[in-house]
Amino acid sequence: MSAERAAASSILDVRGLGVTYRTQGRVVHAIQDASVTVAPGEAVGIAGESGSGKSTLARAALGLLPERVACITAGSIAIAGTDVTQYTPRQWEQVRGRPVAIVFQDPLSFLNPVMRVGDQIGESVRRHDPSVDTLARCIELLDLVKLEANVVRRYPHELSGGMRQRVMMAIALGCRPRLLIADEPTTALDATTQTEILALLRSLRTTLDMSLLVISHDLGLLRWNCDRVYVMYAGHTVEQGRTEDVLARSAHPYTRGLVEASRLRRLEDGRFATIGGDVPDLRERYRQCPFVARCAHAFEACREQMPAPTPAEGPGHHARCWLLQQERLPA
Amino acid sequence: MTPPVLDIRGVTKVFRRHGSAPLRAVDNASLHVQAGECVALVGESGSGKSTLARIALQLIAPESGEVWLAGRSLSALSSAQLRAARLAMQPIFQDPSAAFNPRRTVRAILRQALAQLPGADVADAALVSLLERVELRPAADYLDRYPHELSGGQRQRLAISRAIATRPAVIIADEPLSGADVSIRAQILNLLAELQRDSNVAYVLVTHDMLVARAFSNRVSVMYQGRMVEEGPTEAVLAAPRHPYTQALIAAVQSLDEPWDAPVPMRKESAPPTQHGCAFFPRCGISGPKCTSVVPDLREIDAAHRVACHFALGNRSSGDTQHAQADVQ
Repeated sequence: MSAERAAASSILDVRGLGVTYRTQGRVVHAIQDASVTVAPGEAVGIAGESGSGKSTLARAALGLLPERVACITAGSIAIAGTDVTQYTPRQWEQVRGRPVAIVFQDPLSFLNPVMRVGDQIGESVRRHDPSVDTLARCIELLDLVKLEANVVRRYPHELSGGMRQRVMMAIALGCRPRLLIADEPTTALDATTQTEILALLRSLRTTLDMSLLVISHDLGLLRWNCDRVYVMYAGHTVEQGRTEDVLARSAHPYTRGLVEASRLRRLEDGRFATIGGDVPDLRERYRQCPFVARCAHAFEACREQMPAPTPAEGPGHHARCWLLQQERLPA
Repeated sequence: MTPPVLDIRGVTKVFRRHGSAPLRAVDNASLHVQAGECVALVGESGSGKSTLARIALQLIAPESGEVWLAGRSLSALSSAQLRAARLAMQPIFQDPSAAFNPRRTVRAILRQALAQLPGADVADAALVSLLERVELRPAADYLDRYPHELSGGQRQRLAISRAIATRPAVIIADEPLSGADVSIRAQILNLLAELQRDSNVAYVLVTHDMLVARAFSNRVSVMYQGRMVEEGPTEAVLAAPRHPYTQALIAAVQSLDEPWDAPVPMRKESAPPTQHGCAFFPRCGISGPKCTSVVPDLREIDAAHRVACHFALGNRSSGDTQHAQADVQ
């Protein structure tokens, strides 16, 4: 498939995105150069540590960046073939929850504490289709997320963490999205509840023929729940490919470091593998590789410029690392 | 054998709330840790693991049961002795930003910690050496900073330096790594391991992260609704968990190395657990009639490996149990 056709048929197509936050005279370049695409029916993951820009990317993709504070400085975002990069909040109102919806880590900060669950789901349902029988559709949605019909009369505080997460999913599904973005969907949940929510996301993806974009710091979760994965570092997508290729045959030294640290692998001296050095300073806009100061393999080229995505082992597997281009470097 | 540094013996704590049924947060739970050892205390939210940690730290008084420190019951100590005992047992809490007075500099925070030791040296040199032990370098640069000027990982290091200031025999760390990025998590574990080698300090590590428990602890104790349901050497428990709840916890772990599929969900809690039966009964897939009427005791099934489950005990070789285990895994 050619690049243009892939873009035209993709549900989400983020290219070369730059997002900058300005607050009280401070400038933070949260996203510097990130590209992510999601095709119909795909489950895609974005991995990264705090400050990598992964959550900002999710918010940008839904027009949820804080107004006046954040601004898109470069690149483009297309949803189902429509360029939404310059959309006004009014235009976003039309789009949001139609092709793309989102569920967050913390349902309590999202749900209205003084409104019954049914009314909150109903709001989302009516926004999508004012003529529908709201109550019937609410109960249908609750059934979809495996909650009983009587939950419509409950308030969020009367529910457990896992149930609240399901309610948030029901609200998101109210608009029949083609892509559901899940931002750390299970981080705040207990282990056994986590697996139930993941199983639910899997089955919804199949039954509703929906794409999934999962944003998580948990590589293990992405490993077994996503077809493809992107790794973000300092606002850049530094590696992408099939999940298996990226996490088992990582090409970028940062990804390798992240994988080793996640595994809690012991080095020869008995210590756990870590990623040395300091976290990147996002007040800087990187022209060079942002990982250069922490990379054991860095050489001159790395200090001069960030390389373009370079093919690595496996279909669609790319990493932005000069090591992969080393042979091609001019002497 | 030398007595454990910390020995929590059969403690119970009931929270009585107005207008609702009393909650047995901790129910006849025991836990001990030897010098230089790490015991991971695992379980989900509401399991009572944090309450048990707070009982050990004397922040909450139990209804019954005792806490012994280095062979002496804390209930037999005078208040002066109790103060000294508290110094031998230090906490590290989950949220390092909430653990400090925001108006105190690093210098003031560490001075206050050191000053609890009679005749302690609180000169800057002593503070610097504390900071160097947690790898905050150059240490002198940190003395005049405030907690909010530190990164999350640095704050957790500061919390550790404060905890080791009184040269404790045991550190009780309540989810010290949750919320930390994976690279920070590995760094903090390296630091805890190094301190353990240097000072033979014991850890009780309260965690929900089975990968951390597996990588770092010698023994593991699993709590469910206030009761210990399984305990034993970490390797034995994680390789062959016997309690259905431990099995579910382990089945939920998504590691990079072992293929994972979403396990069959546990039953929903339809009935509230009874005082008379197994607390896990309402969610258990292998329960029998005895489970609703008799509380299973912790009994040894293998060297130091104890389980509180009628099925894991009685029918060790029965196809029933094995089938159920295969299901959960």
